[in-house]
Amino acid sequence: MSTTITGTSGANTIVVASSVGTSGQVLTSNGTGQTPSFQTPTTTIADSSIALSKLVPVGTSGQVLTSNGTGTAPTFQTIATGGFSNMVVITSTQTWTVPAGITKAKVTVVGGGGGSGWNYSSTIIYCGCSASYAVVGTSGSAGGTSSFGAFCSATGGVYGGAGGTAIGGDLNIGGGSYSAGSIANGGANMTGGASFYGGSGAYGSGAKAITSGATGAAGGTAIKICTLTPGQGIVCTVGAGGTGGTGANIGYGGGAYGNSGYQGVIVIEY
Amino acid sequence: MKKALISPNEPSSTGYRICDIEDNSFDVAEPLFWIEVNDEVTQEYFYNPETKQPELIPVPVKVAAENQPATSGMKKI
Repeated sequence: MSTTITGTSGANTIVVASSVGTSGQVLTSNGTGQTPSFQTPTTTIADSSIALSKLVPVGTSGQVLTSNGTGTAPTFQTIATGGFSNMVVITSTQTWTVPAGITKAKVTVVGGGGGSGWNYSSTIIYCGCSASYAVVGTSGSAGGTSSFGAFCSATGGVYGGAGGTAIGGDLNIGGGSYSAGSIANGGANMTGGASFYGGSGAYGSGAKAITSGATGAAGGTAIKICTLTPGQGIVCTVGAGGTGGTGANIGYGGGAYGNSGYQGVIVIEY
Repeated sequence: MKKALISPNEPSSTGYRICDIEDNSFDVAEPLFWIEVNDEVTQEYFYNPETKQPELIPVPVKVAAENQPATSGMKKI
């Protein structure tokens, strides 16, 4: 059924058909001499006419809207900034979780330093004295291996031998070797092998000698730029320092014959 | 049984160094690798790649204290 409404406006007669067109369409002029028709309106947004407050607030503070390529909707992402702004020093075994937005880190892994000791027997007769002192000491033990997951590892230094080595790093540095003491050179002054971070007392350095025995060697050092995934958990194992040797002696008191080596460390910069 | 960490990059005796003995293994970079060993194995052992077994590092025979030459001399006062 159709209904025709007829009215008068000035000199013109308007005729409106009530049942033509579809919902939302508007009656549009088609020019002089042409019958108007119902048409779907075209919305045009004028330049600079939308306020930012009208946009849906997605993303988090500091993120930027980033193109994801043709055919893919853009997303808000955290900007990768140049250089390091954070450093984590790990001195005990634990799992480190890669922070949000971080995909690269420089990691330095240092193995534990070896302990010092005195692993041979000797008999000393001091001048003018009839007393004889026999000293039987033991070796120090090796430092433990440190590892940043399966990315890179550094083994510990040993007693009286070579320094530890490094594996998997972009730069692999061997630990400093031991020093051998003797009665003549006064082994008590012999410092242990130096690690990447320095001599006695530094992370991964070998133990200083107490007696005329040998010092500990230092742990190795691996340095690597790692590609990471935000939220990824990485087991960081920190090698302990080797224990010092012990001694048994005859006629000359008791006590330790070696110091403990210094523990390793893992330093993460991102 | 324990886990021994083998370091092929570190020669020891006629094989590779055993650089760690642990109850449980942990992630390490290649070519380091773990093997199971008996409880008596220590870092005094090395890994023989031919037998794929740990072997005791040969130690020079120690001279007993009483059999060692004595050192003596006069001190300047």
